[in-house]
Amino acid sequence: MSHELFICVINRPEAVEDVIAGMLEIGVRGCTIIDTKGMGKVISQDIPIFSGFKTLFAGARESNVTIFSVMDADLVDDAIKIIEDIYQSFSEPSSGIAFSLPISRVKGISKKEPEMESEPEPETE
Amino acid sequence: MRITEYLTKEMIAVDLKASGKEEAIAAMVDHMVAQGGVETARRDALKEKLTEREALGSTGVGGGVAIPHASGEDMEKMMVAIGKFPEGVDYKAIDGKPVELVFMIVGPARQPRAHLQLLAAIVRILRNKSLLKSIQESTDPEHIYKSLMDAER
Repeated sequence: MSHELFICVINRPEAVEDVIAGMLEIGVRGCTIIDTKGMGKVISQDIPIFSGFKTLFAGARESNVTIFSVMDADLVDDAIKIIEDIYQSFSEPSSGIAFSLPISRVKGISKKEPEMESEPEPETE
Repeated sequence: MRITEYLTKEMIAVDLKASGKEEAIAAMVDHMVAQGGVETARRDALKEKLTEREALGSTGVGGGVAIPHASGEDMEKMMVAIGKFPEGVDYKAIDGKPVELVFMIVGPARQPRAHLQLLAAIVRILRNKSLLKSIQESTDPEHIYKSLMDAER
């Protein structure tokens, strides 16, 4: 089965929980979530020489969240669709970005379905 | 983006004098006007724009270098000028050191992305310590221009 690396930068912190729930819903087994910051914030606040250009990055958030997930290639379309459903559209400036990359090798993905921990049997006298 | 596409040898002045930031900016603009890069009628408006930008935070980036930049509605094209102030200028730079080397960018307000690209190109090329030293030590516009050309090859 081929895999792709799905990357999504979420500029709306309030949408992160919905995105993660959506990823779980379509069958994504796991993802790495990192607090990140965009170029607009860095150039307007951290590199003073560029501060005159902060209006070019209007809408840039204080921080954003980047989600990485190695997933079955078949799931990528569903992942993008579910994020579009949550976002309504990526067309608004600085709303975020989602894309995927092909992966030539991958290690560390378990093929075995983990078992749910079962409730302990009630003790009987 | 190549800085030398927006710079001519005539726009390099190696013996300017100024006591403070505003005078340094004025000296650079006056040089650009004298060399025909900026129309005389635009001189005052350009000085004002450059000074306004300094109010956001000093463009004295440290190490004796400043990169003042501004755009104007009526500017026709993007251009770079280099000015050397051998006696140093109290520019209120971020490291508090006097500024001796100024890269000035002026251009049309309708091209903010190109303006930012040019600024970034100057910031990046000034990380080349040997090039910076060569420019700082030179008193010859031709040599400064050639050094930049060589670095951008």
